[in-house]
Amino acid sequence: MSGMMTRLTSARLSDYTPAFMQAIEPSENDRRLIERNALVARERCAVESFIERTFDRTFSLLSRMLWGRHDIEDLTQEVYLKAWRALPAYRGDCSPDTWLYRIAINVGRDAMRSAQRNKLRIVYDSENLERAADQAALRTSAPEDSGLSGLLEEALQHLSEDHRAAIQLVAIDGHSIEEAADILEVPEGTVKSRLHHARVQMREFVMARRAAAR
Amino acid sequence: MNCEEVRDRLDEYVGGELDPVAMTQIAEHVSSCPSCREHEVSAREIARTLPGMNIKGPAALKSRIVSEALRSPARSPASWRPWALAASLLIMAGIYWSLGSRPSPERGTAPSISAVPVVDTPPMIIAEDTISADSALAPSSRVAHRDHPAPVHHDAPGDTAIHGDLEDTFTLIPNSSRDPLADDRSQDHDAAERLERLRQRARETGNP
Repeated sequence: MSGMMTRLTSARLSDYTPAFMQAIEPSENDRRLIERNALVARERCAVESFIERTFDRTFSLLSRMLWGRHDIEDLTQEVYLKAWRALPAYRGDCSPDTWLYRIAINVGRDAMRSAQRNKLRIVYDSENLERAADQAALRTSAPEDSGLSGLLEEALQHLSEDHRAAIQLVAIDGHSIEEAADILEVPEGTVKSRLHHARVQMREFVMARRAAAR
Repeated sequence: MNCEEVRDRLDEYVGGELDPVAMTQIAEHVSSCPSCREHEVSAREIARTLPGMNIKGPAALKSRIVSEALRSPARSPASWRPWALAASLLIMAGIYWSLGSRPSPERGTAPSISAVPVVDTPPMIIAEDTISADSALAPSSRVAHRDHPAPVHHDAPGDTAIHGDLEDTFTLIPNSSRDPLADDRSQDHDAAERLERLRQRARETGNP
C-alpha cells in the first residue's frame, strides 16, 4: 500500500506505467494531480506534452480576444508564467487545460482593461495581422472554403467579446458547453445563449456580404 | 413554424441539438422554403469551417515557452509550506517581543498616566463644571487638562495612594444611554475628599 502511495505522489510520469495505472484505476482527479505533480517538478515529458496540447489554442484565444495587438506573444508567455507560478495551488477541480485557458481569459481581460484604463492607443502589429490573414488565406484557398474563412474572420471581429469567446471555445476549439462554462466561469445556459446569438449574427453577416457581392 | 422561428433555430438544427419533433418540423419547412434553404446551407458551411479556424502561434514562441519552463526551478507541490510556517512564527515572535517589552497596565503604570511625571505633578482633580455632559470619554478630557499641571508639594506618605486612587478613575466610560459621567463625578468627589484629608494631615504634621 505504501509503495502505491509513493508512486501516486511521484513526479515522474515514467513511474505511472500503463500496467500500474490499470491496476490502481485512478480517478479523473487523481490523473489531473499526477499531471500537476509532473508539471510542478518540470518533468520534460509532461511540460512538452502540456504546451504542445494547449499552445495553439491559448495563442488563438488571445489573438481573437485582442485582435491584431502587438503584444499577443508576450501575453501568451505571461499566461504560461502565471500558470507555472500558480500550479502548486491547482487542486484538480477541472482539467489542467481548462485551468490554463481560464488564466488566458483573465490575462486577456486584464490586458483589455489596462488598455482602456490607461487610455493606451492599441498598437497593432502588422506581423500578427499578416500571420492571421495568411492563415485565413490558406484556409480560403482550400477548394471547399470559397472565401468563407475570410468572411468569418471578419464576422468574428464584429461580435462582442463574450460572444466571440463562446464561439472560439466551442465552435473553433471544440470544447464542450460544460468545459466552456468552466473556462468562462459562467453557467452553461449562458454559454448556450451566447453561442446561439453569435452563430445567428455570423450567419447573417456572411449572407449579407454574399448578397452584396452578387 | 414560420421562417423567423426556423432561422432562429437553424444552427442548433444543423448541429443536431434539437429534439426529434423540432428537427422534423424544421426539415419539412426547409424543404419547402427556398429562402430558409439558403440559410440552412450557409449554417452548414459555417459549422464546417469554424473548427479549422484556429490561429497557429509561432513555433519559435512555443519553443521559448518550453525552454523557459524547463529552465525555471522545479518545486515540490507543497514546498512553500515550511517557509510560510517559518515566516508566520517569526512574525508572531516579533509581535510577542514588541508587546512584551512594554510596561503593561497590570504592573501599575497606566499608559495615560505614565506620560506625566509623577514626582512633580500633583494629582489632578477636575471640577465637575469643567467636564461637558456630552463627553463620552471623560478620561481624554482629563488627560488634556494634565498638560498644564499646577505644582503642589505632596510629601505626605499617603500621596502615592492618592495617585493610585486617581489612576483608578481614569477608566473608559462606555457610551450608553445613561449619563456617561455619573460614576466618574462620584469618584472625583471621593478623590477630592481624600485629597483634602491628606492636605489637612500634611498641615497638621507641619508640611505645607
